[in-house]
Amino acid sequence: MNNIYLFNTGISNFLSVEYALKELNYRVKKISNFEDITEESLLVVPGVGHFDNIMNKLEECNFKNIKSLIDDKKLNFLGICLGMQILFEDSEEGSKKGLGFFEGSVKKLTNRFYDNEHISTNVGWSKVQFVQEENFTQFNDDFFYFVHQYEVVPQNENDIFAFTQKFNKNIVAAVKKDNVCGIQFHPEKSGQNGIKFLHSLIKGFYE
Amino acid sequence: MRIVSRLDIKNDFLIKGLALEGLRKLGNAKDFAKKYYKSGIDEIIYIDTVASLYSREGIFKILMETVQEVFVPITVGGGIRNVDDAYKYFDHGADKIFINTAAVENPEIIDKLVSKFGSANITLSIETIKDQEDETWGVYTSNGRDKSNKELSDWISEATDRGVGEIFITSVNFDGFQKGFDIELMLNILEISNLPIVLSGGFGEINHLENLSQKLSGIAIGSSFHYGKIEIQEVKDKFKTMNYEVRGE
Repeated sequence: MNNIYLFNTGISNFLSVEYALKELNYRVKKISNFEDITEESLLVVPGVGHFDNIMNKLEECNFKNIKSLIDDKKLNFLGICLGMQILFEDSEEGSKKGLGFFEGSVKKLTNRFYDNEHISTNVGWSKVQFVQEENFTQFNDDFFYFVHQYEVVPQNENDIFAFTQKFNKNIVAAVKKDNVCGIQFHPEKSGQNGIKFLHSLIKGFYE
Repeated sequence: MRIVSRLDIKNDFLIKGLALEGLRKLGNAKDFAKKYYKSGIDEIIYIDTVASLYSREGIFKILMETVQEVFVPITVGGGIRNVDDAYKYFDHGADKIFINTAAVENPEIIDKLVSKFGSANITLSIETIKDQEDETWGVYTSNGRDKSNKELSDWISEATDRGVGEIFITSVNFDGFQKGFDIELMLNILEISNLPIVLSGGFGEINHLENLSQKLSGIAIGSSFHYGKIEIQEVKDKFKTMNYEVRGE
């Protein structure tokens, strides 16, 4: 298998992602410009930061050059946390347009959750239910680590790959469509389960 | 309930003040973090106790080594004065950062950090002591040495408006004594804040978990784990018997 490209957004926990991938013996190539993508492979965009900042960064680093590779399914895309949110059309966190691989928006959690009983940041370990592919039901009810204040709201229900529950309501935990996948939780920070999940996910891209 | 291991660091070493003993060097911080990871810890907090006085090379080295082997969140802070300091912590492997002194002295730094890194990744650390005379909760910095002019609930609402995503609160007078958590502080802060709260300071025996609230997001434990007095699994088992949701078998 070719190198996995790991995009350094300049503001992210990309080291954690790098070492999680290396734990699985993948070869990782860190890139800070999308022009450096020369092989058909997997691109991972980790996320810590602010929606507009990361979108600006993508523009500066020539994301437009590789968009057609993703559209043509020559390049797989895995976005984590903010890296997932930018796959949608827009976000209440900022004013920039997202990449639009998925129809729908990113909304502030407080719109649904904020009152005297509930908190505004979803942080901590939650059980996840996978709904799209058989292979992943083995991870149902495993705990994964979340830390976010915004949630994705896909227009197309078929795009939803996994849910988690918070205050008895569903939050979308992952979306997947063909070669593009976004994960709200942090598999790279979810212990051995998270590493195992990453492994299944990456293998899935190549089957 | 998140079980957080709190590691106070000086240069490369894990240190902890045990009541009345002053600070003791306990060993290499990374080795402790790795041991806790293997035992099922939910999150690690590294507190660089000397970063604001000296350089950060020590903590960067520990962080870079830890992140290679520890696949749970690592929250780091100590001496963050500006956006650049925070950036460097992320760059060396932090998943989340916390601020205290700089935010108390110059609250605008919160807005700047939030606009750069997003709210969810910015934790406000608060050190507090209840004034025995007027019964107000004071906000302190420098490990409880310096009293600021801020009062707890005002400070929390200001910091919340500015966008911090979580609160890590230490009861200074309970920390290191292992006589139990500051329950009065816990009830007070749960009343005044809707942010996720991690309560720190005072844990020493399993039955200290009995008076906690399901509304807490997490608890931080230092000495009891460092000295091997109580195992992580015992804490999780206890929470399970009380019907808390905790990760692991």
